[in-house]
Amino acid sequence: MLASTDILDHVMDHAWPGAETLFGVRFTWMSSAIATMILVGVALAVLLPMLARRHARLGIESLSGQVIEVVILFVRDQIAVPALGPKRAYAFLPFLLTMFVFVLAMNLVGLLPLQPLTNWLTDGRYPVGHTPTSLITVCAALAGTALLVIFFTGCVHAVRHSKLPAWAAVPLAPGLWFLNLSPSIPGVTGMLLKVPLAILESIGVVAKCFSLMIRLFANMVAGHILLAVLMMFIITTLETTVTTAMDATIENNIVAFYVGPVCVAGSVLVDLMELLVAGLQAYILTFLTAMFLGLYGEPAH
Amino acid sequence: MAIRRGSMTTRGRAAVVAAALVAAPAAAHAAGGGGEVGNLGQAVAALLIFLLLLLVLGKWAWRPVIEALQRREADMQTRIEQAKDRETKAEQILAEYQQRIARAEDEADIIRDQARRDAEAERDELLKTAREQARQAIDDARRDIEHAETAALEDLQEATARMAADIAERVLREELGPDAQQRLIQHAAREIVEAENTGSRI
Repeated sequence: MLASTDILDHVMDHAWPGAETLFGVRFTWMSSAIATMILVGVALAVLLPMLARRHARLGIESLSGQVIEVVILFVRDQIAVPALGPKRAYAFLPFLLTMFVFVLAMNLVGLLPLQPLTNWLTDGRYPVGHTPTSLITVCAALAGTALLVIFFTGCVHAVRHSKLPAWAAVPLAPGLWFLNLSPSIPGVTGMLLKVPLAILESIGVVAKCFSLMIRLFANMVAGHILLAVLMMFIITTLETTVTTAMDATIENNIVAFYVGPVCVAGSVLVDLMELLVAGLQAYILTFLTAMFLGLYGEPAH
Repeated sequence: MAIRRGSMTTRGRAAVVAAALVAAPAAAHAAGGGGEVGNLGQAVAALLIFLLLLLVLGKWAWRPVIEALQRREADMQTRIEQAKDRETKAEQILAEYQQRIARAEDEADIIRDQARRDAEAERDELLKTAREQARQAIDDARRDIEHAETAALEDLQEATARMAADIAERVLREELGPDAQQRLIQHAAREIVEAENTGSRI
């Protein structure tokens, strides 16, 4: 096996056999990453309500109650309230909490060596454990969700605060929100600049959500590629030595004694960093989503 | 390009997002050839799982705990307010009692002063009475002594005169008549009185 394919292999999602097309269209409906997401989703959907029930029964006397309360308090006090203010925070708290735990769980499960394990167990046919957040499409779905929530919040806010009657305001809600985006400037200048500024601001909204996608994707994929490259050094050195050197055993020993430990130590450190990045990116994604919600969903007048 | 289109018509924004979601994996396909970096399937799966999770967790995980948290925080808030109320009340009561104590101490001072003044007045009264009585007793005693002295002197005078008369009578019984005897006695008594007077003066 070539080293270059191995690096990509680590970072790539693998479709399950027979799940690559749907009604004749090329559409992967089951893959390693999707299986991971289902795994994560089911685990969260089972585990968190269980924790909540224990919290309801035992309060913070139980460890489970403490765990779920710590998560909720963290998202509320560190993300929702600073970004949205104490009044509006509760409306978006379930959304932000779900986003936080979902992304965090996906990032963390991606760090587990599930993929090699399932590859070995199922003979490479049904891999599970690819980090879903290292796929740009998954990141796009998450960022798109954020954009949609911002958009609908903005529409609802615009309808509520418009002077028009409800029957006129509801169909015009996107337009109202669009105009609300531009800062209010008095006079003729404000009238003239209203639409250009709104255009600029709406580009800003989309760009910010785009940045959410790129940020999560780049952070998650970078660590994985770095890890893969580090581990590939061992194989690459081995392969080159085996093909070029006369005395393969001596060279192998050099690899085993010098390259191997360095690569292993390096990848352990990178893995620790990835642990940090997993938590940090879940926090950053949720925090920025909350901030954009506060900025554009319900712009201050 | 997609962004520019989205910015011009607001209505099309959702469509642009969808288009971006479709375009990204398609572009990846085109660029990667056989390589599969990402696909629309993962995005749809992520969206579906996210929405399902939002529903499930929102109903059974977040809502109960958030409500419990809000209840507890409201409870704590009311308790804090109650505690503050109680503290203010306690301070008021304390101030009131301190005032009362101060008033009582003032009253006690007044009563004590009054009592002291009364006691002093009574003592002075008693002393005055006692002194008066003592002086009275001394005066009485002195008068009694004077009376007794006068009486004793008179008695002594009489007895001396009688004694002198007796002696003179015995001496002169034969030679003197009753008139001369009387005269002699009176003379002798006068002399004795004079001698007495001069003697006492000395």
